[in-house]
Amino acid sequence: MKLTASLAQVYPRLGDIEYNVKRHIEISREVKGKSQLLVFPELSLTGFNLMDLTVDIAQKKDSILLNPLLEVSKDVDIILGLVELGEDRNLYDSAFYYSDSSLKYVQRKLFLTANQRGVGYFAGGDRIDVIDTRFGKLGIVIGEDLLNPMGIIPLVKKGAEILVVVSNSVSTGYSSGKVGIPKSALKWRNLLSLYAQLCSIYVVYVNRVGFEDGLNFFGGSCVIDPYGEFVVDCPYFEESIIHIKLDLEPHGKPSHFFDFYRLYRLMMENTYED
Amino acid sequence: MRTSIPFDPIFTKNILVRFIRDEVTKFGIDRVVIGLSGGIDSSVSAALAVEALGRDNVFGCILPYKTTSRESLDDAYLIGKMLGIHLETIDITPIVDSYFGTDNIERVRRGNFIARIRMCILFDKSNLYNALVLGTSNKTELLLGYGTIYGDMASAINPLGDLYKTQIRILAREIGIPEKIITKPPTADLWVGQTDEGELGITYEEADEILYNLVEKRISPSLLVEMGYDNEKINRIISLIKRNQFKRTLPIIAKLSSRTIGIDFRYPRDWGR
Repeated sequence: MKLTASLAQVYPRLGDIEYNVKRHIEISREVKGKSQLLVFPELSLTGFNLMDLTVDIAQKKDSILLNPLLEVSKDVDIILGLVELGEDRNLYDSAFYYSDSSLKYVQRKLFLTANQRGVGYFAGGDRIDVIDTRFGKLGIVIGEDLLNPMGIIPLVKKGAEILVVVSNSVSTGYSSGKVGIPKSALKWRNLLSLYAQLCSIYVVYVNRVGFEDGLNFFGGSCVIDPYGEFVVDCPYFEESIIHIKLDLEPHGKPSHFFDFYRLYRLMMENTYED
Repeated sequence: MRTSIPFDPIFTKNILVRFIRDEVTKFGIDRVVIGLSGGIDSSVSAALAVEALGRDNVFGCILPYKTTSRESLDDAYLIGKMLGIHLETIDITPIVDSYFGTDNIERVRRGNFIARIRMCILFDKSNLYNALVLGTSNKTELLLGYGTIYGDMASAINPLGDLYKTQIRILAREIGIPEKIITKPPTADLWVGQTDEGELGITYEEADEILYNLVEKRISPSLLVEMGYDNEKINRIISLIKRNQFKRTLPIIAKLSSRTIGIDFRYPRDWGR
């Protein structure tokens, strides 16, 4: 199966959902006919450094503010991010998958970052699953959930062919080798390539750009093939939308990840005594 | 043992130019005003602002007091002319002296007053020119509390606040600040003969290495001693960081209601931007 994916490396306006929805709609219209899958970063409808805005701007799954997105998803599948007000009244850092004018799947961030935990606005999700799309099986990983391999195993076990990693990664540190790229970006690139190779699948990484109160999001969205090679790169720090054709036909490269799964079982059976 | 603090001046310049452009223009403003002392920090801040916003949008104010050295003044003019920014000079001697009169005032008290008069003028110019006040405090000063609260520490945005002094020297060379400004002994120039390193009792090289190890690397003081750093200097630095925390916070508020500003009413500065 072949598909064209679009990576929308955007600069959301902090806490302004109406504006951000409009921007999402505009971009969706721009890629109509060119692309089957449009991926926005984590919290793309809200921004990241929300503080108390987290509570103010949280949306339920069926919020009317989101209706325009349902409409445009008849032309292109859309992954976007927002603060979700759950039916349990908890707030989640969620990614929504819209397709064919419906909300097909909600992935809630499983493992909150230290900042998110410390402030205590968000609750962590407890479910991760693959999405059966018209072009293949896809799993969504939100930001630093990628740092927890045990959370990725279910996706690989269930046959995900693309891992979509959406993030709000901040530029920190200086990289010694590569001038012009923050250390944090190099860390992400290494991780993404590692997962692509371990799981033998495509990894689509979409990060945001822009400043929020001095926090600087580095962008650098990219696609990595199952061999760990970077097949396309967005620029660093600049808004950008790129389209990339992916061929999901079996590529003959076996996954090493199932060994990892066995390792997990070994670990559980041998590390803990009940 | 020496510690090498990682740094990439080209990358840093790129980020800071974007930072200034972005964090100024998202408020519907495209200008900044900056106090030029002739020192390295204000020179670097001004040069970054020119790159971010264009020389026509940068307003430099030279604000000498009668004790300000000739060299400081000359260097402030030099950098202002070199960058081609709007430049004005206001002698603050009459303002300061009309308050203190002929009294023999303790020099730190007078120095703080001078710094705050400069702040008053910069924020007045901010209103006049519809320009944000660009800060010039570096990370070394901010951590050690070597500055006047609501004086030189006051600004709208501060591009240098996460850079140690020794990193600013590298950045200054990258962006073409004249060598004499980079190499002269840093001074607040609030009284004759004052130098930062004389007052702090430690060189910036030593202070920055100890700060970097304590702050970024979270290395314990005892390990720093094992690494060869001077115990007394380490303790002095830790004491300065703690003692000056108040300069790095907004005024604290007694909690009475269910939502108190700064405690549980917390919104980003870039709200809706």
